[in-house]
Amino acid sequence: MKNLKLKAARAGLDLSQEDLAKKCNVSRQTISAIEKGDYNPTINLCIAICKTLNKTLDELFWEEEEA
Amino acid sequence: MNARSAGLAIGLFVGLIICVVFFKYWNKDGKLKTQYDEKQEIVRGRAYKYAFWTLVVYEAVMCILSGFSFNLHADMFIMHFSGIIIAALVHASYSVWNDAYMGLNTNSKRFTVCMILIGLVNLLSGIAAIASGSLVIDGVLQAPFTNLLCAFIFIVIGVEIGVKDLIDKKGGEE
Repeated sequence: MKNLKLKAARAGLDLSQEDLAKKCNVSRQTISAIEKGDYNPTINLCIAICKTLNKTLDELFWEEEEA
Repeated sequence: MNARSAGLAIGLFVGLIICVVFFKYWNKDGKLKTQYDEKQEIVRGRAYKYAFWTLVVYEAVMCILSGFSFNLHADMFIMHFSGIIIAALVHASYSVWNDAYMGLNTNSKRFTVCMILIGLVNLLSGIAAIASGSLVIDGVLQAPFTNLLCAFIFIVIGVEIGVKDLIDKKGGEE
């Protein structure tokens, strides 16, 4: 499932995938895979991304159940 | 220890030193160890698994062929080395296509230059062996064939990295 919240939060800070990747010490392709929903990051990476984007885990990674 | 064994030992030692020099050159931080992120580590784990089974199957096939006294017209050293090259190619190809070949601290330009250099050196050595007639002796492929195998693998990996880069650039950031 695509992570549009992450993509929006990243775009909100005007960061490219490459920028976010460098700040979180991962490759650009890993950030791309997370946003596309092709890879589920570990909790450590989730926390690193949240800290970089100034968001909480819920705001970026909690999946809302469809009504 | 005869001259051939001594030459092999010295060659291996020099090869090891050259590997250390190359690793320190193409890693941005000058470290020997290449760093990979968590996703890359997972992908590389799978790549190692596929390479391992490729080598196991290869060696099993060699054993069976040997059991049937099948003459492969190649030195035993080449038969085993070929298996290692094929397994290494499987690992590298899987890693390249799943974005796990280049590490976080790899300088891709320096790495590509090194790949081309190593491929060329091996290709030239192989061509020299063909020219001197030492590649095939009495209808049996000799050790210099390993240079051609090495040139092949480096060229294939280099092409794969180049093609993957082009595909990534065309795709752009999503």
